Amino acid sequence: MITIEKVGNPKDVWVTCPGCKELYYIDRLFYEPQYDKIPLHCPFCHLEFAKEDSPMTWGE
Amino acid sequence: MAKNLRTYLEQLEKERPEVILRVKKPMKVAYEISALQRKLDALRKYPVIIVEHPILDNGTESAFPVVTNLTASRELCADALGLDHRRIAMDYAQKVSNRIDPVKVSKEEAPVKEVIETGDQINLLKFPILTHNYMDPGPYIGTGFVCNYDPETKIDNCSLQRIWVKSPRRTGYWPAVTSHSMQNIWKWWGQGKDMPVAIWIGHHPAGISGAQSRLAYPESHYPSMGGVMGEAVKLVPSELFGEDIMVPADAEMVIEGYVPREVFEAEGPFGEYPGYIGPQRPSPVIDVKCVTYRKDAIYHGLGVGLADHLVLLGNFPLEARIYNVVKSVVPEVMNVFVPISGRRNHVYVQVKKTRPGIGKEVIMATLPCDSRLKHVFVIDEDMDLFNESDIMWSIAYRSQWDRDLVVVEGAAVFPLDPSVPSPGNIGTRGGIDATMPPPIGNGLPRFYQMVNKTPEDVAAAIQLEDFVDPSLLSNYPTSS
Repeated sequence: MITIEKVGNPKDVWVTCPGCKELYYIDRLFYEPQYDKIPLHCPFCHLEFAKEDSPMTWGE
Repeated sequence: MAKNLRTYLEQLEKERPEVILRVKKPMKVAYEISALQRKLDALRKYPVIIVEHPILDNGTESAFPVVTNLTASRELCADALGLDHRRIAMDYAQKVSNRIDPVKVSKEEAPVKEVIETGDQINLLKFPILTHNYMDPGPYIGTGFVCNYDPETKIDNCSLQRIWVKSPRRTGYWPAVTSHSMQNIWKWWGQGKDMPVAIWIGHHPAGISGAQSRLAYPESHYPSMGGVMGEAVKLVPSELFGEDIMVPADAEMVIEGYVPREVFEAEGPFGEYPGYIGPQRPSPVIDVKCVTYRKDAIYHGLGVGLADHLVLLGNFPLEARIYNVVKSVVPEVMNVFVPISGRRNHVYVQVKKTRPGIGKEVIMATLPCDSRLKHVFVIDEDMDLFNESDIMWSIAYRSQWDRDLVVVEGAAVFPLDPSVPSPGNIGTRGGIDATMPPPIGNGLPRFYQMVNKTPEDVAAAIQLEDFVDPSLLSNYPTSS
């Protein structure tokens, strides 16, 4: 877990869409067991992808 | 005639046509209409905007016009409720408490049933639903009142919730974890059933304000909606659920369907009322099975994250609730204002400081009124509660932070604040007592330095119009 000035432990995780490579953020809830398998949805190109497929991720 | 969105617009056209901005040029529903709102908001100008030719994402013109900024002006919203905008805290609560039971009308008497579509006939994307902010994944309904009911008591609930139209017949939506809607979802799913839901859009500002009142659970919102409107809401049974879910007969449109059991999908990111784009979240979805609407429906869009989102749809009910609760324990409370600048995290409370300790009593009583309230500012009666310069002046010269600040760590807070750390929605709340000491005795002055002022006889003698041409006033610089 990274520590961010002012926010401390961040509740958002930054992900990169494997399709269009755009960066956006998701709620940490996606890492809870009951939501862990839900595909992410890129708001830019609408690709659905598993968070493990994000080429670069920050804050997980 | 019963109050509804179009009777309100007709009344405005007749009585105050200057407050309506009618856009005749085509405008895209994706970003463009929101951009216009944002530019006007930056100038602190809040006309009601009617876009006559909205262009859909597929490039065609929608058959339905858009009205937006309907609830952006504090003054207009107060007018629509028949109230003085400086007395919302005191008088709005009275309206909510004067509950008027709804009346049932037949389907034939319900304009919202003029067109009924089911199955493959349904295409939500033909309506001019706005896409608001960079990073929003698509069009969002910001003015949909999601109605469902508690399966144990059958008492209905309706609440404004963001709804992402993902495809012609499927939406995502986000009920906050603490919402009554979410409580109902858990109960339905606990019984192994999908939750029935009907979403109505478009009504008189007084109606949508009353429907958004903060009530206990479970408690129907329709009587308080009638109370704020000053007349009974006309309800009609929904197509799919009959009298189990009643919907306003005079609404512009209704979307009916189910929240399928234990289905969560990615929803968002979405630019929300705090003015920040909230993260993508796992959220329930709605499978749409029926849509009903007026033949000439007007789509009510919302300026998400702007004044349009804040004034009527949250701040008015909050002011009333805080006034009622805090006044009951601190009778010296005079007025309450929830400013759009604080986006529901800030509240200003004005008191008559007759005894020591009132400021901190007010802070302690105000914070539990709503989880969105983060900072409470308590000021004196000689300040203008609605002038933020006076609030800052009070803080600057009537407080010492070591003595007057209240800090509550480990408090429950609303999840849409990006400064809140993980895990959970636990953060810090507090307030500042920016009041002067009380009078040192009965009939004696407050033991504090006096504010600058002109001698009263001179102030009375010097009249502005004797020296300044009123028509030139607007030419003078206003920055300071």
